[in-house]
Amino acid sequence: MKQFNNIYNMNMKHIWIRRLSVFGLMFLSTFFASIKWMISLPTDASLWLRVLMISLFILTFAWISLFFWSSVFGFIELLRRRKVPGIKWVSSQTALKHKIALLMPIYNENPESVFANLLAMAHDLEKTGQSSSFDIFVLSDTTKADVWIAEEALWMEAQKHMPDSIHLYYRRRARNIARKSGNIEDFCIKWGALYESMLVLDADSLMSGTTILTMAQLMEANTQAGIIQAPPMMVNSKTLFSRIQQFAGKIYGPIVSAGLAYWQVGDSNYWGHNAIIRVKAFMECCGLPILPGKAPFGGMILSHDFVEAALIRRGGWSAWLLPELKGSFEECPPTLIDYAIRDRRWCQGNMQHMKILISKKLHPISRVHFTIGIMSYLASPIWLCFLIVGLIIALGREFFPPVYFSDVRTLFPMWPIFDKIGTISLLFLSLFMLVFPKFLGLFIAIRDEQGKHKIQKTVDLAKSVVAEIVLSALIAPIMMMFQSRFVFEIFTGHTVAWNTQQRDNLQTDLQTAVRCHWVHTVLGILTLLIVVLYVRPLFWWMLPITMGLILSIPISVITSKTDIGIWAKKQRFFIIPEEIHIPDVIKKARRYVQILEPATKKNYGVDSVVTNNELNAVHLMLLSVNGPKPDTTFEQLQNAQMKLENYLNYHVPMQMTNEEKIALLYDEEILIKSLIISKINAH
Amino acid sequence: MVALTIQSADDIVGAYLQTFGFSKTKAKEQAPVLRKQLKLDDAIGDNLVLHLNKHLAKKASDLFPDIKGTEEERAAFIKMAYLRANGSELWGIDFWLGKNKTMEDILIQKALIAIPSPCIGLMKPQPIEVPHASSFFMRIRQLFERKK
Repeated sequence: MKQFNNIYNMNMKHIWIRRLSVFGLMFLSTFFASIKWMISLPTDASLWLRVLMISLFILTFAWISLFFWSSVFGFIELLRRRKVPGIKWVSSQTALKHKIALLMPIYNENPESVFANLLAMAHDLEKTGQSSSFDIFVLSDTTKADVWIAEEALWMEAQKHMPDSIHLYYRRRARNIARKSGNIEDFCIKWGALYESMLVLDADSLMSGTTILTMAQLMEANTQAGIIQAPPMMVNSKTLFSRIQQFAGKIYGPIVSAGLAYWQVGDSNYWGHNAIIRVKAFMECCGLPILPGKAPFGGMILSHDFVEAALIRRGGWSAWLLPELKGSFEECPPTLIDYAIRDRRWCQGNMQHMKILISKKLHPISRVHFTIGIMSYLASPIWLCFLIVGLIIALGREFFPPVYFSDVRTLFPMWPIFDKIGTISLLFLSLFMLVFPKFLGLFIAIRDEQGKHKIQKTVDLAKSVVAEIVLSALIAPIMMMFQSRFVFEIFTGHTVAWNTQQRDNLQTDLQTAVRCHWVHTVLGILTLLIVVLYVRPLFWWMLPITMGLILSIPISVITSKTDIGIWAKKQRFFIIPEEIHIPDVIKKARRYVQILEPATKKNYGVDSVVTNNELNAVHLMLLSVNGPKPDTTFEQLQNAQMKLENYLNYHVPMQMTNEEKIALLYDEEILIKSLIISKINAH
Repeated sequence: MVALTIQSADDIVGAYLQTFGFSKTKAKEQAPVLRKQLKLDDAIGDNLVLHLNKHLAKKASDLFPDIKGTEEERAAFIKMAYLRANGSELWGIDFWLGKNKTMEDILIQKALIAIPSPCIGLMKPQPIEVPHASSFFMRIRQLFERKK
């Protein structure tokens, strides 16, 4: 095991200089800002409040300065158009020697878009002339019976449109042990040995053929590479919320990725999808254990991607984030609430990493990845505490007048010192560090803008950046409240269920918004009242936070609207170049959605398995690759059978529970006979 | 599923053939022929379907030695290939009755392979040695004790 040795074509000194520059500047700026903060705090505040305030400031400032300096170095890299060093690039004509598997793990997803994306990728790969090196696997963990049947139907339908050179395989696990990581592990155990690498996708992933081929070629050329991650770009957004996220990802994403790649080099992270992984490395290093203790900190590892990257790195393989790899796409949750629901899951996964962070033998940079992941959620409660303590100090000054003469007799009075200018300058510095990287991203976006009407496009980009800053400032306190609650829930032992991510553009209705945000609104109003009544000087400083919270309900509803998203697009806000010059693979995916649409309109369910010849046959033949039957009771099967008989003989609509449907769908004899009966009854 | 037993054997075989894409008329015509050819005169109700599927499962195993599963699953596998090849039009009930090289080639070509043959590998759970809280504090204590 070549643990932590130089496994890339680069001088280790240069790598550590990169790291030292980013983290050194982070520490230096945090140090000086903290000193300034220390002397700016009111001297009449109690000591423990000041200590708490300084500690919270250090954590918050360190967090934003890491983001700032990483972005600055990312900007410099993009400005110089430098590729990530240490990895060997090859010609696009290089022939692949090994087979590569494209894995699409799914769990109760919309099968129409899953298969449309796969068909688009397959046809884009075919254009490269090397498509015969690729096989596609749809690895289903679906538990909803109707979705399961729809997947089988669309798999069958998609076969008609697949290029001959690519196999489209499908298997469903009846028991989804260890969720997504278990799903991939199951693939590796059964078929991993047949493939050199596997490209892991997500249900909404879409990658161009050339990008997939480049990643496979890089994997073959860099034999020590364990993971190559292509940063995914958000596309296909319709609601205002997702369009803002998509725009932010397009403009700021490149400098963030370039910044991360600058200091991570070959010790990068893995984001769970749109990445190619060497199967041998994965099988050697990534069998995930069950963590000791109870959930949410113990038990099954939830956010497996970070852990897998750390284990692969521990095993002596390198992991790369390559911002040069374009043509990697994903979708964004459509609404603020959906975004928060996803964050709840991710939050728990990242908090669980606290346990792994201190485990033995990990590469130091892997520990940094875990820390960043943890901090991305802990930052919210820290910021919240910072605001609360700040407010308490301000209120203290209001309610407890300064003591000029203490019990000990002194010659001069003790004047309370509060460096107002210092505090304001630090606040502006923090704001600058948060906002400035956005303008760096804007600069790169303008530079890279191609085609006609460059001035118009520059104006559009600039006004969209300003609008994004305003809207994200309003959304930030809402997310702070959400994430603080999530962290609190996790620390008090509340776990999260494995739910499918909402990807369809379903808007947030007022009732849902009120249910999710009423606490935010009440807290916003209370804070504003306290500030207006007792600490009026803080009014303007607190306004962005209180406004965001007070308006959380309308913000959530309005940003979830598709028509407002379209309106913003018409006003030329939040437009990304990929919406003007649509990449081929996205066009293809949209076309295949239309092609598959008639098949999906059939509304698949148990009834279609007992009436449709093809679906009955495909379902029965796929049972053999499903693995052992899940536990269902005799009673469930009996109920299902009774409902089925009523449906076939008397056309009584089947109203089965999911468990009844599953029980029935595993009974081959009943399914065969039912199909025959449906033909007899049709006479 | 009592409904099957009250049908005549030809009706059942006819309906069975319809599940293979035969039209209602053609299925009605071919059902007695198939029953006679496969010597299923004595079989009734459930047994008829069982026999027909057994026959198919055997055919599937001969043609696709790699496929696994129960008789019903193997029968469904070859049935799928038959349906995709529009076998009811091309070969009718000859599919059950005899061997035909061209038919076999087309069936092989039209077969839907759900998964490749497994090539089992090993993936051991990797140790993640999480220090126990008590041992963590113990170590810090030891560090101080050593310094003293």
